[in-house]
Amino acid sequence: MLRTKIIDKLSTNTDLIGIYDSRCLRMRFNKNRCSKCIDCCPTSAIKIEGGLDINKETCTQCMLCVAECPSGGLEINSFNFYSIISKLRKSSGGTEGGLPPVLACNMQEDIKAHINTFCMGFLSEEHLIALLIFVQAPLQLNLTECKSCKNSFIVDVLKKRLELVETKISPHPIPLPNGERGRVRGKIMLIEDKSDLQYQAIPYDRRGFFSALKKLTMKGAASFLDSAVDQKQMSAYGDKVLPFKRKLLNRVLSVMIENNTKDKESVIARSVSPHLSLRGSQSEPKQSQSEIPRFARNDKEKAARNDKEKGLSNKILANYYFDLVVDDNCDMCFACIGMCPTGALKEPHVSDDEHESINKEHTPLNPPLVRGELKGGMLFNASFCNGCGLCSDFCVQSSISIKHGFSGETPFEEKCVKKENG
Amino acid sequence: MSQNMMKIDLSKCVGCGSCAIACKIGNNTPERLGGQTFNRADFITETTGLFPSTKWIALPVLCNHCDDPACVAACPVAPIDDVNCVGGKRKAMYKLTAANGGLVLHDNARCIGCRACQRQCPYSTANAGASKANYSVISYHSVEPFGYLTDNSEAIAGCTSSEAEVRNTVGMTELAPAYKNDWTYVDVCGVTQNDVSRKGIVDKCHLCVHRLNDMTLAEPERKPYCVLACPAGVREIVTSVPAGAKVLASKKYTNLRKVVLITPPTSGSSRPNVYYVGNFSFR
Repeated sequence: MLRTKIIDKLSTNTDLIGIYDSRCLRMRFNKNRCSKCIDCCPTSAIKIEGGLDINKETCTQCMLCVAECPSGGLEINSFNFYSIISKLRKSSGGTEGGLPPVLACNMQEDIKAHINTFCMGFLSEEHLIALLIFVQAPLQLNLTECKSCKNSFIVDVLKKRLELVETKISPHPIPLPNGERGRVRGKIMLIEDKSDLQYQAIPYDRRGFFSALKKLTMKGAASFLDSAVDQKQMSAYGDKVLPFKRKLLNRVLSVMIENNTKDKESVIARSVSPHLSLRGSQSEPKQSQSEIPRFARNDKEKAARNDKEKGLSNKILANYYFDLVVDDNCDMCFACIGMCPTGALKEPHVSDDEHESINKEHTPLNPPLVRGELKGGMLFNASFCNGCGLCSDFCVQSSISIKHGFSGETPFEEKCVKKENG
Repeated sequence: MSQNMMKIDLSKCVGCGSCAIACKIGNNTPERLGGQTFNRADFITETTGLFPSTKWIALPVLCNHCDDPACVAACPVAPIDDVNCVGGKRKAMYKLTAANGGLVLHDNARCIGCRACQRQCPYSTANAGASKANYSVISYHSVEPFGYLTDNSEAIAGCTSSEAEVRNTVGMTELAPAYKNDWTYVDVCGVTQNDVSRKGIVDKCHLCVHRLNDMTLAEPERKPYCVLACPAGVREIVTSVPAGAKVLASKKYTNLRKVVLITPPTSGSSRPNVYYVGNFSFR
């Protein structure tokens, strides 16, 4: 059995990309015509009609579809982007002379980088924003080997995405650690020429060497014994799942909002690396503590910084978040709630807690509410909305419209978009 | 196999409700809640007129497994290829071809819970309470069905133990069978349905397809629970339209309350496969 498993594992082009039919917009609604994954796929390996599927033979694992899919129908299996962020943060201080950390793919052997990951086509605009905000030092993406790779097109795609990010949030430059106000391009550098690459390997000590070796062998063994040979994931269509891109952006935004009142470094550290220690946080605790008063020394400066941050978070809200408007024609059929792939819309059912507290106070004139009965109006949570528009397309009354850009107070709270009577 | 139909002989029905009880026990459907009736097979009664010329009728009801189902047409889920379904396409709500039994079935795993089927079905209503309907073919789970089985809160606060605790203590770790809904009808069409009925999806009669096709059962046992339970033999699975048959006319949202029987099924209707024969009037 183990033998067949290993043979399966070696013979198939591995199941890096998880396919979730239930999240695909086209699968949820047969009139939807989303074709982002098909359009971006350079080898036409993706099929949607009659069930989402990827042709393993022709797929080059450029991960462009993963970055494009608006609802997380295609996602990289068992991949933790946060660990990449925290490793990048760690290695930004690990090199001598403070050279910027290098991120590269693992498509070819011997690519110089501190961290190797999949083909970097998976870096969507949301991922790039997260790298901008969470990794303090400038970051180098090592694309020097891309020319000789079958996925050479991702260089242009990444350039385009960086440009998009820059146009969307650029009036508010990202603060660089040396005090300069760098633009997005200066912060994430796409290195195509080998001579431009500034790379210095982190020397391993004995302990580091053995722990790395242990990790590698464990990982190899785990992937061999992984029984999930079948690429197709089965998840229920009724389950609402937020795509990772959106989760990441929500994390960025919540950190930025929290940031206005607290010390930036500690907030990010807490949110990014619960398991990996930060640069200096263990060996030099005094230094990281002493940074707090340094930041807060000048109140004026701090206020200016906060304004900048606020501008940036507003920019993200305006460009990457959505608002939902319901007009008076809505007859509360709640078809949209079932249709929504991410769970941004909610039925205003009486929850069990509410049910108990309401019924404690009921009088003969105010009969107790039945559990599951409707109360209030439809609820919308902007941080869960990916703007796919399925709700407005499916609405029988055509009373839902999606607006680009969020204008409310906070996207993280549910707000009532449709009152019960009117 | 051919299209499954049900003949309901009203002249035999006294409205004892055995069919409804058997269905509830067999399929483990939840109680009425939030305007949803849930029971897959049920019986409804209506009293009309003034004393002494009052009329009382009892009418066993269930999903009509229509030839031209509005629920299937309304389902927004993208169809996947399946030769065993009508048109070769299978949505979350789908109709098997007549050769496979011709039932209208619901795929719990693919249902997104939009309730489009419920709105379009001429025999269903989104809220039986609001539309004063006695019965709705398609129901929607707005809360977790049988959530109390895994509920850890005390039944009476500070006094008793919880439902889950009691179940664990007496060793009832398995949930009731139909809540799991763990049956397959691979024999029929290669479809495996083993997803649980749960919050956020709809629920409807499947004519006990797991019994109809269970070859381990003796021939007379291969019938839906409601048919087996009826002491008078009112319900009967047939394969052709019985003589003198009528079908329920349906006017959306007032259906199954003000019951009108017409004959024969009009071409514009969804062409239901449940037929009523005999006199239904009792005095």
